[in-house]
Amino acid sequence: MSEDGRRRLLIIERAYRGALETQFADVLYLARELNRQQGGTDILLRGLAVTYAAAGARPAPTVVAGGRTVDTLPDPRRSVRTLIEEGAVIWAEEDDIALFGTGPDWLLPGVRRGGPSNPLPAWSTYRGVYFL
Amino acid sequence: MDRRLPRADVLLAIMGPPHISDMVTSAVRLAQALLERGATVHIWTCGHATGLTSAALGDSKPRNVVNWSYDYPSGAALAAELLDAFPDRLSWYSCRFCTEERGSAPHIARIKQRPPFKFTEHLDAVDSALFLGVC
Amino acid sequence: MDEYLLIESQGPWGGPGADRFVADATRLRRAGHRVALFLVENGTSAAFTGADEALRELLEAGGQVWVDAFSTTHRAFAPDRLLPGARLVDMDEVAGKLLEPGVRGVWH
Repeated sequence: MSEDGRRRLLIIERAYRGALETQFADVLYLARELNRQQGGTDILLRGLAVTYAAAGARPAPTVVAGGRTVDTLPDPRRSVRTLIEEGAVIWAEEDDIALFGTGPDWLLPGVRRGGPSNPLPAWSTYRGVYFL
Repeated sequence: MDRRLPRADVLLAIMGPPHISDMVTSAVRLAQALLERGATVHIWTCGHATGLTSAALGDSKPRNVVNWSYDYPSGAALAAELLDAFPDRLSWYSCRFCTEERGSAPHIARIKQRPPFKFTEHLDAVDSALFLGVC
Repeated sequence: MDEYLLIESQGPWGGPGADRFVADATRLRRAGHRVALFLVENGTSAAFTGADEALRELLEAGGQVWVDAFSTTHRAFAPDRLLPGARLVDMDEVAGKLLEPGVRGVWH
């Protein structure tokens, strides 16, 4: 949290970047570190990134390269669960949930819906807004 | 000495930058699938993709601060894994200009640098070529 | 008549180019060529929103729509939302198609 008590809002809309290159060090790893440094942050998932908050998804798949199986691809659903446990507030935009969701249980527990029928995070209440 | 390129079934030209999409993941998966079918494959990297095989990467990614002792392979290590597994059917080329421009040199062993003005020779040497991304 | 394996990796969130590429596929199909469109990476998203008219047009024209199962799993897309007529495939099948003589591959 900042000196004036206001949190920062991180918006993630460009999802699935460099699974094999990033492995653990994906955008949610950065978000987790910022959440730690700032004593709590808000994160809004938009577009394809709302699938980061899907409940009940299977574990991340593996990739075989030569004789090696790489089982360390990003697991965004697990990362979102960890962020919630560590005090981050996660939002997902309803318009995008509608594109991919399969029902009321599709979203991970603890993730807030934002959009036409629920308020979105109010930008002016944050110290800063950043697209990751 | 015969300087002609070996023929191959498929060229995967990784032109776009890693880390902004899952392009490299797809390239590795497709290369693996082709090679497991017995095909011959050329990989060419341009732009920042030349950095995938930079020797400076070492074998492992930097440590994960929340999983300190776990080993995560670098891009260079995965390229070496592919080359080790398919030494006679995979050739990996890297654009010399981009390698110098993007600071990717030196490469790990078995990466062959080629000048961009020879690139059409690489297209002529294969039955099928895919351009993944743009420089 | 040619046979094409067209590979769409970007999808609706990558910009308008994805729809243009699917339109290319439909144009080739209507010109009499055999066309399989393989959706991979974020390109798979178009097959799960239930709103992609360009893919429907390609299917109606007789083209095939293949969807990468790996990318689907990684993005947590629900298989039961898959566009009717599209088919989940693995990379081995894609490799096999690319290796068939005369198949022209194009990646977008």
